[in-house]
Amino acid sequence: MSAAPVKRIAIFGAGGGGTSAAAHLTTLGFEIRLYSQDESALDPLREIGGINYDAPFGEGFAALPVITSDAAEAMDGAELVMIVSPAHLQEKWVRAAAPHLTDSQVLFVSPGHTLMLIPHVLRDAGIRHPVFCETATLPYLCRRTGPTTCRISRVSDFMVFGGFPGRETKRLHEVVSTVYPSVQPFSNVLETVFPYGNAIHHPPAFLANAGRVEATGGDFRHYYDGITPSVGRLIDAVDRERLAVAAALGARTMPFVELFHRMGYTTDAARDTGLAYEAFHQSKPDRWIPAPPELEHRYFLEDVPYGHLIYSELGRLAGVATPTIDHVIHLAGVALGRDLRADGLTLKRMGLAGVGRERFLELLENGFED
Amino acid sequence: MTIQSIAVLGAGHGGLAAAADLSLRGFEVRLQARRAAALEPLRAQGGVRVRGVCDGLAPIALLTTDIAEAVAGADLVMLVVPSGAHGPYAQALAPLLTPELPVFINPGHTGGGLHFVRELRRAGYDAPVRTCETVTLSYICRKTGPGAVEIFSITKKLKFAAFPGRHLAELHALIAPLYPEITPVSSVLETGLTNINAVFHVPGMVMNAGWIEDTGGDFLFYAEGITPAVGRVIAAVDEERMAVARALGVPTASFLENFYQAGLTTRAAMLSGDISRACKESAPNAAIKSPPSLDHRYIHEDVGYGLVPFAAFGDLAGIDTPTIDALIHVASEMTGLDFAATGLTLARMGLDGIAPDALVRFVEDGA
Repeated sequence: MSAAPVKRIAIFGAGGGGTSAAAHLTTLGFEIRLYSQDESALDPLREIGGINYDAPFGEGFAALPVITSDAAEAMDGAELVMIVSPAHLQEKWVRAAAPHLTDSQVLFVSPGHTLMLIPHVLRDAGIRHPVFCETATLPYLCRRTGPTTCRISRVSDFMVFGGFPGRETKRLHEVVSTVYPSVQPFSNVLETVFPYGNAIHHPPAFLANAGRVEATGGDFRHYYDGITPSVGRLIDAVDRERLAVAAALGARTMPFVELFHRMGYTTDAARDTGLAYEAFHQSKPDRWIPAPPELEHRYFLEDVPYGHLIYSELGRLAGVATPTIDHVIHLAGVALGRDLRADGLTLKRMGLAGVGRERFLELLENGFED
Repeated sequence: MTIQSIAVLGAGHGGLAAAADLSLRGFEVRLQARRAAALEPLRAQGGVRVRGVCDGLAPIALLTTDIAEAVAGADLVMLVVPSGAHGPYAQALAPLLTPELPVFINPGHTGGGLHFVRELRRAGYDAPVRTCETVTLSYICRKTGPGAVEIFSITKKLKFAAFPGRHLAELHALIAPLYPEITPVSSVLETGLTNINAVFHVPGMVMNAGWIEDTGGDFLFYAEGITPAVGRVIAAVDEERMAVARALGVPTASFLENFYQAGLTTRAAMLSGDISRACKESAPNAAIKSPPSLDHRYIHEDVGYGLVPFAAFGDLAGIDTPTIDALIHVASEMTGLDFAATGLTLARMGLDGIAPDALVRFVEDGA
């Protein structure tokens, strides 16, 4: 596999993240081919031939040469295939890309944090030795604000990056860092699972404000008002368990509050307390973010089955108890009236049922042999 | 015998209400408070000012901080204190009790009598003992100022049990003149497993923790805070509670049936099966605000002396209680208090190692 310089990028996903990446990377001189299976998301963009953006690097219009629902067309000649979607849609996008993926293309999922799901799906699609890379978080704080507009509030200056197999991380990082210089290479896709902050704090904070969300339709500031000292203590308890699981698997990570500070979301003084409550209460970027209007929202629907649940499953694999995480999963499911484990990212769904710790770590580093 | 003189131990909301109500109905009340400051306004004004179901200035025969003085010459000891104080009161009463002097724990919540007797024994009291208890307080009331209380209503069809259970008929006959609304049930397991405060307060507190702390409880706890999602968690707790009761052979009814029977919601809400609706349609609770913080009996008492003993009975019966366990754990992490360790465990009720089939005999005989 050669590392051709990246010029052409296929972006899978036309939501806030996908359109923001398309706009931003176009301004940096890359040729973007935007793909989605949702024609209603593509049609307004086709009409104007691109996307309007409002971003820290300016306001403007990014012309997109290809806007398509044909995966082969989107990927044709692209050096990088970038998937930008909610976790629960990743499998669908990867299945769409798999038949057209060539050895010279780099598959990049941002954010990924779905551990072995993607290699498992690629294997299932007939690729015996899957290779891909991912970041823990989306490169942008952004929204699709209308049919033809997106707003980027912030471009991330620090993203945890890992490759699969882990021994490919260095090579993959060399490719992706030409597009996103802020990606920092970590060992593997285990180390991109742990720094996904939303998975740490959304489920406990949402649970502890469930009544207020429903009673007021979310008429309060989710972080600034909703994360009080008691709620912060619950988040801290979740974080201690996450760190214990990471440590048991030899994965490098850092406490949530440090991570949050490292990403530029809170003050030095808040970091020094080590408390989630202070981190959020002193966060300028998060201060005005309103609470969701209802509980049927990704704070539960994504961050429990693709967040908390992974920590719980990895804890089981590593022999580390995660009582707070497990209890939050349970209560969130009861609150919503559905089993959030059933549709979530279990070891079984990643092809890891019955796999022991040593075999798991070996797979992460070296990939599949057969 | 009949009761004429009552030692009311505790001068909080319930203690003041009981002292005033019983005094106005002609009983001699000997009121004990832990803090002298709580009694000063009563001395100054010559009793308890009460309004609501009864009105006036109720004279109190004795005001004291000394438990021995309160109990001396009384026909009944009535304990009206938070569950967390049952242990210390038992220790203080151990040298003062006699087999002739019954103890009425109002309310006993879950395991109150079992806990009280265990603490008495630990403190060296080895004579026969007769306790009785209600599941919840016999009044819906609030302290309205120094030495003043408002009694909104007398709790209806109030479940009442004795420990040891064989004294039930005799103790019921003794207490019924004081509280005609008490209804005798099979055992303290039945009153204890009917503790609906624990069933709905804790989900309401945990799932509104952010709202409570952010606003100091500036919302209506029942009418606003018990939303559909909170109601679903309450329903799950209730299912687990009833499963434990059934496994122990204890008669049980749903939260909604109890809530309706207690006069706290409409028949239509009860029949709908919707706990959120039942709380919204609870006239007696309509104006009740949220506690101002998590440092409140809705957590301390209803986790430590409600959900913790529910889970303990579940362990004893071999019934899983995942939602109850989750709430105990989450409340503990939120407050930094380890309720599973400090709450009312089987050991603290004197029940560790007991077989489920021996439990019924134990609560009947007390040994």
